[in-house]
Amino acid sequence: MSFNLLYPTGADPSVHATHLALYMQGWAEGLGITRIVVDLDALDRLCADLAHPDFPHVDGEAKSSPFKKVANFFVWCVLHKPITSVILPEVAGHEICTLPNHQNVFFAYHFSTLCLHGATLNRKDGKKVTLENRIRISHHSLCDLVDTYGTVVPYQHFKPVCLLFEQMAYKANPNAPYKEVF
Amino acid sequence: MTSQNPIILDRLYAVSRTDVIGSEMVQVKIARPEPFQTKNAKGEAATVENYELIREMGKKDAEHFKAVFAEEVASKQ
Repeated sequence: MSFNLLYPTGADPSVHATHLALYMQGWAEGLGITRIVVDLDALDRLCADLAHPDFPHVDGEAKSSPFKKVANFFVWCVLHKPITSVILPEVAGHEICTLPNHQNVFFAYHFSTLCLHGATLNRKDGKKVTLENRIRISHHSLCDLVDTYGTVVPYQHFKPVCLLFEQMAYKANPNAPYKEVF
Repeated sequence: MTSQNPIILDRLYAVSRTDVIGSEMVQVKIARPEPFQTKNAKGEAATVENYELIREMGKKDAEHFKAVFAEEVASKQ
């Protein structure tokens, strides 16, 4: 369901942005954030980039792996910074809230892991594997992730982010990877 | 529907609005969004016409993190 929010078939980017904005609003409320400011122009740019036909996969977004789909969202979300208000330390702690762009990296991480939870992998060996378990990382690792990806260059970071989500998903779902021999 | 971000609500429900961005007055015209296509638990196509559901989905999804962060904050005090 979450992938529908990221890549809605045939939706106008501004409609798409509206859906994401509303989701962000609920997300903030769920976190206990009393005020969230979303830059709708940035959200429009994010959605336009998600809808861009040159998705970084040879067969396009529709046939790409869920890891590529979320990595593409992650890098553009972090780049465009749609959430302009910070998360206050009393909500999420001092350590993460002092990091630049923490709100967008954390939202991108949250939404990416949500999308991957329950996603199906069509492996090249013909097997279909469902990612039954959600990715979970420690607070320490989350801070490292936010620190590492506070600034991204989408075309440069797309593949490393894709690999990161792939490996985190494999850690949570030991039945999912190809045979690990190296 | 209550909101802490009226701009988002304007975007959702208003056909047009006048928004103040800095010192500039910007006229924005936005069509009402199309029904959101999604799938139910059985994988059947469904239409969510009430946008409150999307917001509720975001709220529900974040609740786990609220609890985890609260633990983290409490542990540092």
